[in-house]
This record gives sequence, structure tokens and C-alpha cells, in this order.
Amino acid sequence: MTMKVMTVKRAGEGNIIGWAFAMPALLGLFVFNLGPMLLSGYYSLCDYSILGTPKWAGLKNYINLLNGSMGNFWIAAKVTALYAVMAVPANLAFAFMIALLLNRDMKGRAVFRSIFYLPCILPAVASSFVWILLMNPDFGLFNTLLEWLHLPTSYFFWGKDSVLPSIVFMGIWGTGSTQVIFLAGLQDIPRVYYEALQIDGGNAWHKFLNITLPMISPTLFFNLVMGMIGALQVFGQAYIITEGGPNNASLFYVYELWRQAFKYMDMGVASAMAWLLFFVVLLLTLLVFKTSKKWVYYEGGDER
Amino acid sequence: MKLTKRIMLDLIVCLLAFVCIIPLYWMIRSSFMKNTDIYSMKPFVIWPREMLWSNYGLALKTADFLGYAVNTLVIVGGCLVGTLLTSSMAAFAFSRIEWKGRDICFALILTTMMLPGTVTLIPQFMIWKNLHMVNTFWPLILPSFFGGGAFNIFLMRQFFLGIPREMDEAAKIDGAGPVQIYFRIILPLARSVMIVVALFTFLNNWNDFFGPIIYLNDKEHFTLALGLLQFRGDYQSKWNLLMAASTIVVSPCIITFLFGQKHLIEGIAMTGMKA
Amino acid sequence: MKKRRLFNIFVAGMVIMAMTGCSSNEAGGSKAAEAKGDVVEVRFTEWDGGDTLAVYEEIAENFNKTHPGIHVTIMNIPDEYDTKLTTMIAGNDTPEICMMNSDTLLFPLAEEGIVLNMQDYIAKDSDFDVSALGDQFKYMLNADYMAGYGIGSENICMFYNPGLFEEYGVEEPPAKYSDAWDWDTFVNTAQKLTIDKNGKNALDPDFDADNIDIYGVNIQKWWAGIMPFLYGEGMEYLTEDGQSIAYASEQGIDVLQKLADLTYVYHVAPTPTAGETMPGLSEALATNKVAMSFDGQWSNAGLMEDGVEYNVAALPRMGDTASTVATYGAISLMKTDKADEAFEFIKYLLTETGVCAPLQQSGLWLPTNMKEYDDAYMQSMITDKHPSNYYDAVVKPMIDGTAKTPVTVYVKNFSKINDVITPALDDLWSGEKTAAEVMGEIKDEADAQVQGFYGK
Repeated sequence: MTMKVMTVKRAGEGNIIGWAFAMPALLGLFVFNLGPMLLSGYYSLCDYSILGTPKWAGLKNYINLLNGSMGNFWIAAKVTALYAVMAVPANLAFAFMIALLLNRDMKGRAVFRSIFYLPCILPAVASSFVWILLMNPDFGLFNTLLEWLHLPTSYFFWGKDSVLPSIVFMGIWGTGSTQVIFLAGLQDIPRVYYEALQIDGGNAWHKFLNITLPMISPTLFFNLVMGMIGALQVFGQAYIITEGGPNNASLFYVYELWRQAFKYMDMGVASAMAWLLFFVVLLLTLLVFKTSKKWVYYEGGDER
Repeated sequence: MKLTKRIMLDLIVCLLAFVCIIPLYWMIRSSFMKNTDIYSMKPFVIWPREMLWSNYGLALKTADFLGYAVNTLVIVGGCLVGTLLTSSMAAFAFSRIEWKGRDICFALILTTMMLPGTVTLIPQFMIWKNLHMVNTFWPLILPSFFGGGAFNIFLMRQFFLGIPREMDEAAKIDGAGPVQIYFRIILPLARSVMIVVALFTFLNNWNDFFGPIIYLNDKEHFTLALGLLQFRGDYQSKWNLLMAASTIVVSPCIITFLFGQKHLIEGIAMTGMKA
Repeated sequence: MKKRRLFNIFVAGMVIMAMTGCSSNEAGGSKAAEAKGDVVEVRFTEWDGGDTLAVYEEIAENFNKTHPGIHVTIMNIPDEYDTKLTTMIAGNDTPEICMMNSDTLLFPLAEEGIVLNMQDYIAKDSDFDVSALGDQFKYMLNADYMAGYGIGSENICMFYNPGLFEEYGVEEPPAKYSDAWDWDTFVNTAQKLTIDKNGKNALDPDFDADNIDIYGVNIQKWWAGIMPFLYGEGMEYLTEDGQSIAYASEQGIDVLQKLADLTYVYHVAPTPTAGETMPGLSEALATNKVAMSFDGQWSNAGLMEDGVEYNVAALPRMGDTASTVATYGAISLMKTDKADEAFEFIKYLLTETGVCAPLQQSGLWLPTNMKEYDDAYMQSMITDKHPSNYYDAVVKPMIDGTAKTPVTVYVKNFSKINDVITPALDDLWSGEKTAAEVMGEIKDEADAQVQGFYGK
């Protein structure tokens, strides 16, 4: 009797408390985000040049984009997909590896953590300038090193085939945030678990497989989702370094979208591009969330 | 055997760390050079023969860096408070409390990350314009008091979910309400992720130039990141001065990180003992 | 405990700081407006930082002193210029005066009436000294609609390193466009000045094209680097009927191929990759990396400031007539309720002689105020730091029509056409394809974007 009363009361209370705690975020969501998002959805169905007034056009923008008659939609989609396929695993693997390496007991661990975070701290203007210099095909440090090692040199940002790998390579050094998140996750694994396994006679590989991986899975899951969203919306490198070149080999989707919006002043097409991307990202995220039930383990969780 | 493996791994760390240092090293090195010397790679100049401290003087002279620094601190400070408070509250609601509409709300918050900001920029600007807040710091600070962004909420939620349920239950039995649980149990146990979020908030706002470009008009309101961009504005690129200015802008970050680093480890070490 | 208190103090401090910071800024703004009473605030947006910004601010200050009812502030937008401007306009916060990119925002805004017809205001104002305006600097939407006027004119010219010419015993290029080298003479000179690491030049049969120490020439690969030669072959950016891109014409293909041949046939110019990552002109000339360079005249400012030994000369010609092309930004009057006051500042900026003098003296700009193109004024702008050929190679082309109007001033839909052409040309500059192949592939796609001319 008492038990029953308590749960009922708790459920009602939970509603109020839940909404109360989430209220600032929900207000932000409804006031600053949902409105503009819905408005852009409306724009995507209009002829809208930013400067004029939107005129209803139905699915025209979407149809024009998908049938290839509008700009470089498919080139940009292909380039971005290719980039994401390379960058997401590369970034995740690299960041996880660094986090594992730095999670060991080693001298100067604090210093190394700072060092690996450095590329994230530098302003983009400065760091991209440095990367451009390092990757200069004629006198850059990388080609000088490659030549010295008698390895084939590369055109890096200036070669059609090498530009995407170069951007991916540059990107893995900027994964400091992902590394820090992994590290925080690794550090949250209680030591006693490892000690228990040690007593049972498990080796390093067993520890990794049976403790580290399941315990880190919520973090891995987070980084995977964010990595995917980030990779599909990659923009900065094209904007600052390559301007989509050479010959559109690094024409990222959001860069093309930005050109449509603020260079050609076609907000209708830009919004349609944004919403197409939105649905792709949403689908992929749902997919990951669905599969996550099978591989993500929440110690304090009751769902997902 | 075990020792050689150890040394091997240490060596790998050193090698990778070396690459990470190159951009910083290059930036500082170039900041002391003549523009003409930055490019001379043959012979490879490890360190400038003569240190041009005057670059720093010139860089400081071109813009009001002190004023920019104050503006940046105000924005960063406001965002830190707002984000740490409201995103952890939301994450708490999304991970430890059961309430109607929770999952749909969480999903909606996640979707805000999936639409490129390019197309929501103008409607958002109009909102701030109608609130008469353009050309103030509010558009840059206030959003952090309204959830602090989906990224942070999602990140915190993931970590909160990792805290064993028994902790809440035990507290409940002791008569603690949700507010006490949030303050006394979740926040202390989640210190590592709080510090991580604080770090990201600090750095993102420190280096962000897009928001300030859109919402700040007067030079008196400019931030350090905008000051850096003003260097590029001119026709000839004074890269050495840009590098000097970048060094000035970035050094507080590096110092903060070096100090915060200690707390990051401490905080993590503490929660590591939680179970 | 102590720690927590410290943390609380910190938080409280931050909150207070944020609050006061924000509110004081808002208050400061409105207070300033109140104090000035009837003063009309006019904002002028521009993208240059550094010296240019300082000069603009000085101009505004002088203007404010002499015009008590108006207060002009310079609004510097250091990046994402079009994004910010578009956002402000869409958000109903249009600045009163704007610098404009003529290839993107200017004409679409004029078509919507957001950029006002300056002609109307000039006609209304009997004081306006129309002799200051030159037709080549007017951005005409159509025959009667002046959407903007050029400011900070510049043109493309040749920079060279006299030391290298002397060292290898080669005759220096002529200063005047009337004496400009023909293409063969130019290529031959460039070959003599392209030196490999063994000290052999590009005419030597043992020349090592893979290890070049000094390049004979560095060229520009954007439209302003190509157009001077296309003019020389008697063509414009579009064919005469305004239906098709001239790059794809017989002459256009010839021009593009000749420019690409500098790299792949004669080995006198760096590969595009090397070219794009070439250090700035100042560094390239000072460190003997290049003997000649086609570049914007604005580079004089950096070269003079750095004290580099150099000189300027006329560009060589491909066809019969030597030409160059001018470039400049547009200044436009925006549709706001302060347009009358804003026009006063534009009038001051465009017709007052010598307002931009510091930028002209530094070598950055050439005048767009026609009254400033008189000998006495120009001579006073040319300092002893300017290279000796400055007047003949840089100033004179602006007066005698050798420097043509930039294509962005009159070609419709330019940025879309250009965004078809530029990526495709990457294959030419990298040596993978010939000019004929490249143009054959994209001619139809580019022509589909061609919409004719403004101003007609």
C-alpha cells in the first residue's frame, strides 16, 4: 500500500522535477532554435533570395538539387561522404589511441596531455597558415622529410587526389577534444574492476576487452555520433585553405551550401540543402542509436 | 619484455607529441622573425638568429588588445557560468529523472546540431535584433544560460548515465530530494566531465570569431579573435605580426590549460574512486 | 570548504562582470546617442583592417568635425563580410553606407532597391562636383541606375628585381605600355632569368627543370591576371554578343595556353602549387626567388614599407595592344531613413581632393577621384620611396585608358560563371589538360550562366 502510493507520487513529482531541471535548455530550444529551424524549413520550399521576400515554390529546390541541375550538389555530397568515411574512423581511432597511451602511468603525463591538446587551442588563422607552410609541395617540411627518406612526395592540399587525405591528416591532430572526452571516460572506470580481473588472472587484452571497452562505450558512442555530425558538416578547411579546390576536389557540402546562401544569395536552395543534410544526419544518428542498445553499456542506465 | 614494450609506447607518445608541437613552435618562431625569413626553409632555420621583439610591440600597437581581452573575458566568463549550470541541469533531467516527454525533448535538442547553422543564422539574428540586443554581448552569452548547447548536454548526459543508480537510491532513502541529489551526488561525481565542459566552453568562446562578427558592430566590443582577423584584413600579409598577435592571444589559453590540467587529473582521479 | 568559497566568489564575480559588461555597453550606446541630441549616426562598413581602417577613421573624424549634424562611424568587418552584411540587411539593420563586393552583393541589392541609385542624389545636390567622377569607376545597374562608385583603385602591373636583370645581363622591361614587350621577347627574357640550382638558365640544353632556384616570372591565375592578355588579343570577358565566355574563344584558349606554357613548356614560372604557396611578393623579390611578377599594384605598399629593391614595369602584350586591368571596391548608398546624411559622407569621400592621400602615398591605392589625376597632385603623391617607373607603369594607365574597367563591374552573374571556370582551370594549371580541352568541357556549363551585361 505504502509502496504503491510512493511510486505514484514519485511519477507525478518526476514530471514536474524533470521539466524544471530541463526548463532552461527547453526554453533555449523553443525560443532560439526550433523557430529558426522551422523557418528555414519553410524557406527550403520557397524561391528566396535573402534580399527579397520568399515565394512559395513547393518542392522545386529539392527536385533541382536531386536531379543535378542545381550547382554542384552531387559533387559536394560525394566529396563530403568520402571525407566522412575517412575522417570519422581515423579521428576516433587516433583519439582513442592517444587517450589509451596517456592513460597509462607515465612520466610527464600532464605535460603530454597539454601537448596533444595544443593544436586545438591555436587560432584557426594561425594553425592553418602553419599547415599550409608545412604541406607546401616545394619547400614544406613534410616533402623535405619525405625526400630525405626517399619516399614519394605529395602535392598535399594542391593535388586532386591528395587534398582530402591531407585534410583528414591535418584533422586528426585537431582531435584534442575527443581525446579529452575519451580520457575523462577512461578515468571514470573504477580501478577495482581491473584489480578484480587481475586476481582472476586476466591479461592486458582481457582487461581491455572485458572492462575498458564496455565501460568506455557511452563515451565512444558520444564521440561517434558527434564525429559523424561534425564530419558531415565540415566547413572550415574548405573556407580557409582550399576554397573547394583543386577542381572541386574538396568542395564540402556545407561550403557549397554557404556559397549558395551568402555568395549566390539563394537562401531557398541553401535551406533545401541544409534539410537534405539534416535528414541524412538524422537517419545515421538514429541508426547508431538503434544499434547502440547492442553495444553501449550504461552502468547507471536503465535504457538505450 | 614488459619494459621494452613500455619504452616503445613512450617513444610513440613522444613522436606524436612532437608533431603536435610543430604548429605552436612554428608560430612562436615566426613571431620573432622578419617576414622574409619565415619562408626560408633551406637552410632550415630552427630559431631566428635575432629575436625581433619589436614584432610584439607592433602587433600590440595595431589594435586595442587589452580592451579586446576584457571583452573576451566577459563573454567567456558568462558562458562558463551559464553552460556549467544549465547544461548539467538538463543532463540531469535527461539521465536521472523519469518524466513525460523526456525522450522527445532530448531528441529535439539533439536535432539542433544536425542542421547547418548557415540557414538558421538570419532568423536567429532577427530574434536578437527584436530583443534589441545586437551589438551587445547578450547574443553571445545568453544562449549558454539556456542549455549551453546540445553538445554539452549530450556529453554530460552520457557521463551521468555512467553513475550507478544505487547512489541516488541510497540518498533517497536518506531523505534527499532531487535537488540535493543533483548538487550533492551527481555534480561532485561528475567533476571530470564538468571540467571537460568548462574547458571546451572556455576555448570555444575564446577562439570563436563567427558569433562576434555577426553580433558585434563596434570596435569597442570586439574580442581577441576578431582582433586577430583584423590583421589579415590588409592587403599585404604581415605574417610575422599575425603570428606575434596569435601568440599573445593564445598564451592565456595555454597557461589556463596547463593549470587546469592539474585539476583535470585531480578531478578525474577523485571520481575514479567512486564505486 | 575554503575552496568552495573561492569558487563561489569566482562565480559571483563572473556573473557580475557579465551583467555589468553587457548592460554598460547597452547603456553606453544609448547614452552616447542621447548626449548628441540631433546628431544622426551613420555607419560605414568596410573590410580592411590595419592602415586602411586607420585612414578611414581619420577621414570620418575630419568629416564629423566639419559636419556637426552627422556622426559617421567606421564599422570594420574583418571576415565573412558578405555574410554579416546580408544578415544585417535581412535583419532590418542595414548599415547606411557599405563597401561592396561587386561580384556578389552589389547588383542583386541594387535590383531589390536596397542599394540606392546614387545618381538621384547627385542630381538633387547642386553642390556635388561631378568633375570628380569618372565613368569607368561607376557601377551602373542600367543606363540610369548608379549602384556604386569605385574607391581605392588598383591595377595589375609587372614587378621586377633589377638586381637579377643586372646580374644576368638582361635588359630591363619598359615602363610604358606603349613600349611593352611582345610575348616572345618576354618569354625569352624570362628564360634567361630562370636559373636552376647549377646556375644554368632555361635556354641551356642541360637546364634542370626540376630544381629551379630562381623563377623568371610568377603570374596571377584569377581573372585580373588573365584579362590584360585577353584584351591584348582584342577580346572582352564575354563575347561581343554577350552570350558566351571569351575564355572559350580561339583567342581565349590561346591566352590561357600561353600562360600555362610558361610553366610546362618554358619552365619559367612556378607550378600552380608552388605559385599559390609562394611567399608574398615582397619576400619573393627580396630573396631572389623570382625575377618578374605580375601582381596587383597595391603590393607596392608592402614592398615600400619593407624597403625592397624593386621596380615596376608595363605588362607584356600577347596580341597587338598592351593592356592591363583595374580593380576596386564599390562604395554604395543604402536604403535607410538616413540616406540623405549618409550621402553627405559619400560626397565628402568621393569629391574632396586628398582625403585618401595617406593610402596613395603608401602605394596601396590609386585615386578614383578624377580631380586627383592631375600632374601636380599625382607628383605629390609619389614619394621618393616609390619605384622610379611608378608613374609610367601604374598611374598613367589609369588616365589613358590602358587599365580597363574590372569585369565584375559590368558582367552579370559573374561569380557563378567564375565558379564554373576557376575549378576547371585547375586542370590546366596543373598541366593535366590543355586549354582547349578544359574549355571544351565547361563551355556549355559556363555559357548557361552567362546573362549579358549590366549598365545597358
